[in-house]
Amino acid sequence: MDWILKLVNIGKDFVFHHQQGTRLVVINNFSMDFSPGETAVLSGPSGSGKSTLLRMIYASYKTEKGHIFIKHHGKQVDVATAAPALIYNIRQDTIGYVSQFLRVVPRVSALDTVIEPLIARNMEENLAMEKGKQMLERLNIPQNLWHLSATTFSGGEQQRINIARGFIASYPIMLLDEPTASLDAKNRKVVMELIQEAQLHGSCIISIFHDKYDQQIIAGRTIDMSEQLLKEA
Amino acid sequence: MTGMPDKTNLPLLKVQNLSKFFGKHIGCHDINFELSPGEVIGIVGESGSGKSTLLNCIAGKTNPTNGAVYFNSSDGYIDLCMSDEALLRKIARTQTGFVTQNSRDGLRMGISAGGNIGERLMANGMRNYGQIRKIALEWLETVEIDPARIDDLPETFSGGMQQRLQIAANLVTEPKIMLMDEPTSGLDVSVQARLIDVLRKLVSRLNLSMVLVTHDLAVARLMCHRLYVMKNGKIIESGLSDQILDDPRKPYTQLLVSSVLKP
Amino acid sequence: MSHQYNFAYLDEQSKKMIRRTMLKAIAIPGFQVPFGGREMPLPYGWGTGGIQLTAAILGKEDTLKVIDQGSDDTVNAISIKKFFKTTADIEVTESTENATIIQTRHRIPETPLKKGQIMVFQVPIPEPLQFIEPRRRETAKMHAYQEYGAMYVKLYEDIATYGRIATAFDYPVQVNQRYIMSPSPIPKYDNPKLNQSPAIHFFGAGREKRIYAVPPFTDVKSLDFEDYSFELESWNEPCSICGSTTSFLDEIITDDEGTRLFICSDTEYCQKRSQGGE
Repeated sequence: MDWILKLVNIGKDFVFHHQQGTRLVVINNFSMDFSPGETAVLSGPSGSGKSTLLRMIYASYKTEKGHIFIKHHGKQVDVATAAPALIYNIRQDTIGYVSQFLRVVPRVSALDTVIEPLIARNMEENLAMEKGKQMLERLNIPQNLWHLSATTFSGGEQQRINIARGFIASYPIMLLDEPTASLDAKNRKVVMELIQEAQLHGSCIISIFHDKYDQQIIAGRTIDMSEQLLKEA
Repeated sequence: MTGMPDKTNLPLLKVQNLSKFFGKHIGCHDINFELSPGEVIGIVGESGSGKSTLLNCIAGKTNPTNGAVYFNSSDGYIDLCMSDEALLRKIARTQTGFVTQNSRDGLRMGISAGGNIGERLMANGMRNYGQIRKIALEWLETVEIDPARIDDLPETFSGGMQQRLQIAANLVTEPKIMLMDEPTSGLDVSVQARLIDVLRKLVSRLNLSMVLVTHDLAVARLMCHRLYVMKNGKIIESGLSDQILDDPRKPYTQLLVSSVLKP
Repeated sequence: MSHQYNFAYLDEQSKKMIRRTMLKAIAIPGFQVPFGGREMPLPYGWGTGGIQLTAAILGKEDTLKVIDQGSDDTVNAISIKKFFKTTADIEVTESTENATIIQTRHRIPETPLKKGQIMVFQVPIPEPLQFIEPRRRETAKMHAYQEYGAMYVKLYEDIATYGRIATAFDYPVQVNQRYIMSPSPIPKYDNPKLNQSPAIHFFGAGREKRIYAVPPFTDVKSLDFEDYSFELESWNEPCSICGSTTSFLDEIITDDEGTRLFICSDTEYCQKRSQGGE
């Protein structure tokens, strides 16, 4: 079958130089293929490397062992060795990443924060604004907050701003790191809808869910990450 | 590797094996990096790690002991370390900008804000007062200084305004590269946030490239695509900003990242 | 002539050194050439630079005129004339036409200068860029690389502050399309007299130990902007004494009521006109 993401023998250790040089193996010789439009949920106890795997795919963690091949603009690219300029480009067009934490930029309005991915793709500003407003509305962000910087927003509001930003543009590969954690039922439902819409668009979605119920709604394939750690390195 | 960034975008700056020794003391040693158009790179590290020495070598303010700094000027690549002073000074007032930590070093404090912005224009031959004035007003607005302050001396400005004025005075000739030495240090956080916001807008609007020296990792994360970590004059780790800050691997980088206070 | 002094006070070696410097200054119009300034028997600021140049070029056949603010009979002018009469026993004159060397502070005579005449200016601040850039090392480079943007900043500041270029004295000029030069504190009214002048103009700064020159028939252009051009000052009334409408006038307040009148700054020119009945 055709893949969009192919992990080949990847591994990740963390060495804590200031804690007696402790070495922690988090990803152990892991290989797996993902197809376009596929939905996969990573499961396993905390420490089993779920978030680490997503961050390696997004390249915020450096991959020193193995290959992370993706199809970017129709070409095969190894994220593990791609030049920084290519990584920016991949993050702009091919891989989206949503976590529950917003990195707030002071003085930038919530709306501008949300539409940034569209502007980066050169979408006309008014159109981007329109889409941004729709998205904020769906996520129940009160209109009087749209033009304020998210710096002073509550945790839940910031989280929803981040989700809006994450889903405003569509990506062939979407990485979701507990996007629904600590959301109320109403907003959680919106997020689940957004995920399903992305699925319909043909995105390959790899997610981590805190909540078993959410996990069941989404699940295509469940990957238990604790198994990979038990193998011989 | 299969995919590569757009080859037509040649690096603006190629620093090769750059070293600067002050007698026995190492300023910076065997530095290599490239800067692409539209890219912002940060040089981080503690005081005395050689960040500013490196920046001064790139800016032509310090003559390196070894190595080369190739700059993609409007006349093609030239080695800034081998060029004569006349050419270096010409490039420094047209194609590169330099923003210092202390605005007194980058501005003429006895000259009005408009005169400070206008100097680079006049240095490049503009001889029309009305035109100089018009451009100066536009730039004041761009860096969020009340245009009514055009005739005021920088001395009467706050620290943050002085830094923004310094940026305007450099950008007025639309340089290809901005070199910045701790531009946000010494400013309180709200003022710093505004400066960063102004800079981020300029970077995206002008497709500006920057080399930013800072010891502030939060600023580095907000501003920079890539980071270089310096210690004792050497680059010990480099990569995408989030890779360096979220997944630091070298002992020193781990120490640096874990030492940041989070509010 | 007093026997205690060498001819024109300075020793021959010093005069030779100064003349060499003057030749170099002539060769590089507008460029400030450093020289080994000597101690003179008068304080800095009283014309020590000018006096050394005059001493270096003075010959037995020369006729010297000295003016101060256009006037032949102020203390400074008279003292300097007396100094050279004592040490060199040369002819002195008030007539611009008859003088071979004219030492001056603040003016160029109204009577047009002729080929063969030498003007010697006493200069307080030779560096025109000093106002903007106090570091001498830096101004030297600015001259070397012809980086004159900063000089225009001064004019820009004038217009921004006063709505026009308000610099009235020591108005910067560009000599021979190359060096920017301070014409010493002459009124800008006199600037055009430097352009293509048949006379040689030497400038001597005693404290700063610099000599520069404008050779005969050299372009001297006053700096300006396209939309704020160099303009000469003008007066609404003629000279109250000689009636001249083409000379630089001084404003004199004659009584406690503030009655004012305007008279020629160049006393010799004014006198000649009123006597000659022009």
